Amino acid sequence: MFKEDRDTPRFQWKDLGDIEAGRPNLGSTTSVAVYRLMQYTLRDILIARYDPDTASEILREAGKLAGTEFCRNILKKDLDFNGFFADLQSQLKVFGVGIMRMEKSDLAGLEFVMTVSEDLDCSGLPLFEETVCEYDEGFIAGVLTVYTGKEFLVREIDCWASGERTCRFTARAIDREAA
Amino acid sequence: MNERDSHLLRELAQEVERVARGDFSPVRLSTVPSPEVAALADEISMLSDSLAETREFIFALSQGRLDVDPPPRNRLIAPFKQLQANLRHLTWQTQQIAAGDLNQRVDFMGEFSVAFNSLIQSLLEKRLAEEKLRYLSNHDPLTDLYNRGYFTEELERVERGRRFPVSIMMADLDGLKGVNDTLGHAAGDRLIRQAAQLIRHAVRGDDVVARMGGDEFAVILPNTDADTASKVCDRIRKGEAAFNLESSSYVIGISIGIDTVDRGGSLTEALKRADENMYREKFARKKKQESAGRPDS
Repeated sequence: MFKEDRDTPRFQWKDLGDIEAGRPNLGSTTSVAVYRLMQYTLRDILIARYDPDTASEILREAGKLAGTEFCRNILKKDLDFNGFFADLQSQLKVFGVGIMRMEKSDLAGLEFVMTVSEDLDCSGLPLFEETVCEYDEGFIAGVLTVYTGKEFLVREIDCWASGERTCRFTARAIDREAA
Repeated sequence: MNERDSHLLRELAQEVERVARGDFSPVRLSTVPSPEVAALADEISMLSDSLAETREFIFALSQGRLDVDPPPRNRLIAPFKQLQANLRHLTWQTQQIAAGDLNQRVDFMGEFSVAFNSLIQSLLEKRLAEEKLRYLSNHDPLTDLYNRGYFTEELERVERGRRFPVSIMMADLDGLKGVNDTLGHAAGDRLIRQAAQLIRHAVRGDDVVARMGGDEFAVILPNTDADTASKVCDRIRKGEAAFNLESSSYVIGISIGIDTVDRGGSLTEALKRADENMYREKFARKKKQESAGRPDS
């Protein structure tokens, strides 16, 4: 199932399995270091195999798939935007992903500026003078796309790894209905 | 270290002192330094520039100018960037509250959070109290139907609107006094509530059903002609019959009068005619009961 040849993603939330049943002693959480070990070794190999841009694009697409499934399975999509955002904030905290805050929201134009502090991917990283949260970009785009039905372009404009200490993302809907 | 470098280092010490006083103008030396001293002078210049940017950003922040973006890649101001991000989020939250969202809570500003959240809680309680008050002023506490005051306002509003023809229904419970006298007022109240429920179930969600007082109900049926109003009446009758088949303690009997008006007609007059029709039906039902030998309760 995981290794079938395919052209389009087919991952679904249920593919995560019954974690509690599978880990009765170790539990359903792990350390941030282990998550980052996976993320940054994978990035390293992707860059070595392809190139930095391709690696970023792959991570962004994977993040979008994750955000899509997260929104479909975890978030309350029938709330108004503020209610939905509060639920998203709360769940990102529950899952230890980060502390998300909204700085600007234009509901008519579907444009947002939001920050994530204590970010799972990057907070505490050594300074690289570059943004590294492409997975987060995709994740936020996936969440917003499921909720609004519109495709979103999300870009990280400030990142812990670039020395900004808070990750800041801009998100805007692009003129395309979600597939 | 030669004499020239010693002199330049003294100059640099003065430059550092100048920067510490808040003068961030570029570092200038009186003579060409050696590479080692030049490197030190460059570092002091960079520090001076960073401090100048930092001061400008913090100054803007202290004035509440949150639109001033922090200088990029300046690590001296990390905590202030966090403060700016928090204040921007707080601004957004306040805008949402101003737009009516009282679910916003602050969890990142220490004692301020407690005060802010208490303020929101007070606003929420005030809103709930106002909503409760508004509900009580519009509703009958026994049946949860609208009250006479609200019904009268709605009658005027519908009369000014476009949803004609409008049918007005008056309904009056038969035999409430008998139930009160024989079974007690609690049973009488149950009878009123059950009749109210029966009428409510027979009409649409946006029709206005009110308890006018005592055992009297009135309904505004917008966009309803006489035939359709008659069907509403039939549904009430069916509900009444179904209840009476099940009930062992008392029966529900509702006398109903209807009047329908087209655009331009007076709904106040329609209400009067519906009331007259209802009394005619009540009289007829009473006669029928008497002739059937049943005592009128």
